[in-house]
Amino acid sequence: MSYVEIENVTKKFGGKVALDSVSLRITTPSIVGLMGKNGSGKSTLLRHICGLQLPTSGVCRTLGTDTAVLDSPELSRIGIAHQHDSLIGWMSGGRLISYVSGFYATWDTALEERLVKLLEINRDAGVATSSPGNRQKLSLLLAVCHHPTVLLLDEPLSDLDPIARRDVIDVLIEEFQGHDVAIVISSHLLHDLERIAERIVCLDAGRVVADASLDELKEQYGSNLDTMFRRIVGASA
Amino acid sequence: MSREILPANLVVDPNSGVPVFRQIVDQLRFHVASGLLEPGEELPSTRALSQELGVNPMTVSKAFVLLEQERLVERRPGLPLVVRRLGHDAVERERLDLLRTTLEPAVLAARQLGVSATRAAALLRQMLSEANE
Repeated sequence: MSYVEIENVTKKFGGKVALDSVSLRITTPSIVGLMGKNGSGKSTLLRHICGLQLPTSGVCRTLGTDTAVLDSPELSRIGIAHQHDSLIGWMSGGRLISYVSGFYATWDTALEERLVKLLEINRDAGVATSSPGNRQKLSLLLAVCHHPTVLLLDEPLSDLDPIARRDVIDVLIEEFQGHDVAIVISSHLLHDLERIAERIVCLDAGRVVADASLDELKEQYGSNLDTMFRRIVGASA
Repeated sequence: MSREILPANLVVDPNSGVPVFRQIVDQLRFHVASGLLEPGEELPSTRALSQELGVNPMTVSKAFVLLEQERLVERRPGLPLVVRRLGHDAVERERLDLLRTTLEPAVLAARQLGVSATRAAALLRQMLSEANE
């Protein structure tokens, strides 16, 4: 089973190189943590995995299909929560949930109900006027309730309070435990990331500067992810 | 008879430089050697423990595989892992192994400080008797 195959992908925006010869393969169910400084290419990489952006050169395949031609069979098995959400603002939370759920045959209403309770999502609140944290919870719910096989989370914890962050981590653990899924999660909150990520990919200026299991990295550096991050990114600068 | 108490006795720090699976293995080994976990006692499931600790289930599963390889726990199809009954010698060896690991930094410190073996041993004996009082 191949969840994600990225081979030698370069992405240029005009003259700016956003991804520079990036390769990444995810072939087993796993939780992969993506770390890197601002502008290092994390979001661009996630958008490549779901076909929202296409490589300038190189090959990008998700669930075995070239991301340029991803269609319903694959897209219905991908979930993504964007860093800056593009939720439909004029809807209420509840209306948006029922709208999005209609696109997925595998939508799990029991899970939806549980997440609404756990994350204290107000179905009646307007999306546009909700706080960033509440929109982030909604994005997460919309990304996971169809039990995607590839789940992409771009900074899903950044606007949440510590209690909600732990709740979201518990949701991810449960989702990961029960299903055939590869989760790629980008985060600056390394304390949270190192609870759940078993593999760490570190980007710096569009290049992969580290890709190893978290346990290996810990035994190699003998430090937590925070210190490791400073050393890896510092060393490559 | 898996006890609720177990996860409470298991404290992991995901933000330490020591891999979480190693923290779990070390603590469970200690609990088995000290008798806090008795033979026949069931361990929580991978799912329960990973949720309790808030860590990746793969991490817990890796720890359990290692404990199984060390023959401290026994896997039974479809049932929780159970603490094995170790022979008296095996328990004693395990205890001494753990104590040795704990004492290694002390030995290093004694050498660096130039404290003689006789004096270091006497200090240990004295501390042990103080702890017993």
